[in-house]
Amino acid sequence: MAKRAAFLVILLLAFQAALATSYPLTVKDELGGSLTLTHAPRRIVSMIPSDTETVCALGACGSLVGVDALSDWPKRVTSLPQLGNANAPDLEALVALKPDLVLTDEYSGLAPRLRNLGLPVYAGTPQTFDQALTFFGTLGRLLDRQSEAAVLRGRVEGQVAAVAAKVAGSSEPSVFVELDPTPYSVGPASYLGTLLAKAGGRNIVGAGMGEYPQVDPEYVVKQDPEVVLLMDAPYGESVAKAEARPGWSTLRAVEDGRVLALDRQQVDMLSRAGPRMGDAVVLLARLLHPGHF
Amino acid sequence: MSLAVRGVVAGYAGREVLRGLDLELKPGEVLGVVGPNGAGKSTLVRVLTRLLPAWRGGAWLDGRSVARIRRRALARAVAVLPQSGELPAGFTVEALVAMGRTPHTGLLGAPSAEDRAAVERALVETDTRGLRLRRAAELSGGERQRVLLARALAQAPRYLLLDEPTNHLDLRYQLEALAFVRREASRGVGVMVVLHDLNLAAAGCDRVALLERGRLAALGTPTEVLTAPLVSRVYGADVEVHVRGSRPLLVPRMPAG
Amino acid sequence: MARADVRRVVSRGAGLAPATASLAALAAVMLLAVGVGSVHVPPAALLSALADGLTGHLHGTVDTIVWQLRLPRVVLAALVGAALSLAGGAFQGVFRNPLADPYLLGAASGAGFGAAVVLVFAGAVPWLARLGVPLAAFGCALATVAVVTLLARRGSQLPSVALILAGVVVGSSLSAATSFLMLASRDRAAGILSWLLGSFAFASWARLLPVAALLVPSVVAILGAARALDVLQLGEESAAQLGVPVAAVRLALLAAATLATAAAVSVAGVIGFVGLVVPHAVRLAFGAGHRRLLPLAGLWGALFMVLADLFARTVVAPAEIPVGVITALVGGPFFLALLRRQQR
Repeated sequence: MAKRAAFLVILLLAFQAALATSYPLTVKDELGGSLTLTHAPRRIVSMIPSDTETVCALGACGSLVGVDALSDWPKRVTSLPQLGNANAPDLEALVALKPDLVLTDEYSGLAPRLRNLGLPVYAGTPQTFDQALTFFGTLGRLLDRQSEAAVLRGRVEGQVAAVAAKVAGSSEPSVFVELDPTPYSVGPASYLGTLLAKAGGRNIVGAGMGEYPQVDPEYVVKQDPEVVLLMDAPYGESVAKAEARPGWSTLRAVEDGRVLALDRQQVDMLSRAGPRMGDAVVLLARLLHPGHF
Repeated sequence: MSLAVRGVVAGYAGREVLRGLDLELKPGEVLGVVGPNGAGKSTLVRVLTRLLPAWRGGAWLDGRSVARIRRRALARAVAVLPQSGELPAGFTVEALVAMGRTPHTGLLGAPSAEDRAAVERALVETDTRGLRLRRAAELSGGERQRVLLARALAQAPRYLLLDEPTNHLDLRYQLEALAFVRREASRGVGVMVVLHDLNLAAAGCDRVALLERGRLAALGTPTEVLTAPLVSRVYGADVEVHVRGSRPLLVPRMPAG
Repeated sequence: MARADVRRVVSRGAGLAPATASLAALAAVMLLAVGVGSVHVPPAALLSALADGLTGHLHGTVDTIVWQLRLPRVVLAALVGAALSLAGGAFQGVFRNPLADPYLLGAASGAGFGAAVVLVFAGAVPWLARLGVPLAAFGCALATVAVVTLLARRGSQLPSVALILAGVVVGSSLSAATSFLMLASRDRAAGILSWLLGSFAFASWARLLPVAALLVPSVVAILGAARALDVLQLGEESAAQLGVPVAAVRLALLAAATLATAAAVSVAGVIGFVGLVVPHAVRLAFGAGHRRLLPLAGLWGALFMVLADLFARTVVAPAEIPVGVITALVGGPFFLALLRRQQR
């Protein structure tokens, strides 16, 4: 409930004075690489949209000097220099910005290249809900924004708790999350699967099917989900197209008009394990339990 | 001193082609090898140049087994004019003739003065100097043959094997080839010519070997070998033989009806 | 003068001139390529940065951009282009077919499979992650060609038809396996595909030096075999009758060419057409003699690749088109034009 959230916030604020980063600071990132910062970074480059959002949520938006092309929240980052993305970066422009911290992921191979160029890199992006909460603290420490990080964490946890309270006792509708029309979906252990569970939804994909399984279309029809979330709507799919698929006319979701097309902003929010996780859970809860919100 | 096969049994993939052949090529002679298709003429050439291992018996160069001689040394002694007569398109005549020096120069060394002289001589002898910068693709059939002859000449062999060199050529070039061959023989080279045309063999060769199903059916002067009964039996075709001077002339007899 | 006469003059009198001219052209193109990038570096700054590097006093972002980003990329492109062209020339010579290319025996399919395995399983299998894509691609490329060679062996001979058939069979199996990996692991599929299409974006001096080291013996071997390649064009029987150890020469050439191809593919992905078109074009222009064909093919392959990479990274900057797409788009029609000229 809101009261519980507020209590947490006050408690954490009380510890604000004690939470300050001392430099020089040496940390190990997710790739095992060592990063040493001599001062709080003032020229940050973020190559991951969720990292960009987190930096801004921690109040350090003014320290960003460059972002990747997909970073679009908050709005002000779109006016920053765009540097491609982690898989196809504009290295020259990145180097020319003289960053004192570059945030990137562990998979694209960008981190070692940046290290070779002598740039300070932190490679590591949270993949799950809990990892994201921890990452707020990690980034907070790097940027000397630890109290903001604690506040952020508290806020997100509060949002999730509030939703949990609201939907407690209601039945969980069965949900099919469609990532693409093949169809690909998400398993319960995936990030989106976790959000779905926190929003009080029951994923028709079982735990044994993997995190991003390709699902048999017949399975979808057999499971007869009550709600269908079209995450591929911004990329060409539509409610009409989906409802026209073989066997779908019998689905409860179709009969009740609960095949829901999400827009680009909603899909981004649901995909990025960052400061808007709480908003994402609230969004899902609204879609799944319209009566309660 | 000779290039010979003794008791050679050889063939392909379990099929015997040569079934116990003895034949000797001596320096300074022109030995014609004739016989119907499948008699083993090309196989003989392959065995002599170590392209095909013999199953029994073997080939001997000047008394040494060909299997024990290093390839390059064998190539310095024996040159072959191949049956196909094809030349790779992108090379100049000069480059192609110079390839005949490979057994002498080796694959890594640079051509010496002696190599260059041998190439010049070969071009002069075959009257191909004017063609030296032409690419192989631009040559006529007769010109191609002369280039092949030049290459064999540049190789400066002691023994020269021609494997049906004139099948597809006009009479003029067939005679040109024979004349070339006789010149080389007169210089001491032992020349073996595998021929289809019996009259050509009769006209140009000192000795003729008639092969029948992988064996030697007859060996001797053209007159001794190219007799009506022998030719009729081996080729399964009727011929009349007329002797002109010391050479026989074979005239086919059309089958009745 | 008639066209045939002009060609005769070009091919004969030229001597060292085409090689020197080609080298100069390559140097010019490389200089141009190093001068172009998403950050504007004016010529004066470029020359000063090059001088800084040569004297060992690197400082500042322009030096970093030129020496750590652009120069390794341009040099790597040149090395890979040269390697693929030389390997292509060797393959065309060994198989006596101007349509042969360095991927005939499955090196590309093998490398792609190795890369895919690492990209898909590196998360779950730590030693795969330590092995890395380039090493895995290199090893798989070599292993594939070795398997193909063993399959095609007939006694002491390596017949061309058997080699090509085995290459096709093994290659298609590995391509199918790679496609399966891409489908089974969708989030890695884009990574595998972009690796397959080829790119020099990951060039660095650290990556470049092992490739250069591997190329030294293979280039020396291929160039040294120039005369042997000439004689091989007479046909295997005629070459043997001229004293050439045909089977050994073919095996050595295939091994050297495969080493060069595997080294190139392991760092740059599968870039097509260069190994086919460049030696073929040089042969048409300068004749079939390998002592001139091979070095010129190497130089022009390097030049072509540097230009293709330049194009790939500037046309839709800051995004990049995979180099393999550029070489196919240019190489394809160019090759058609060559073929039509030949048929006239």
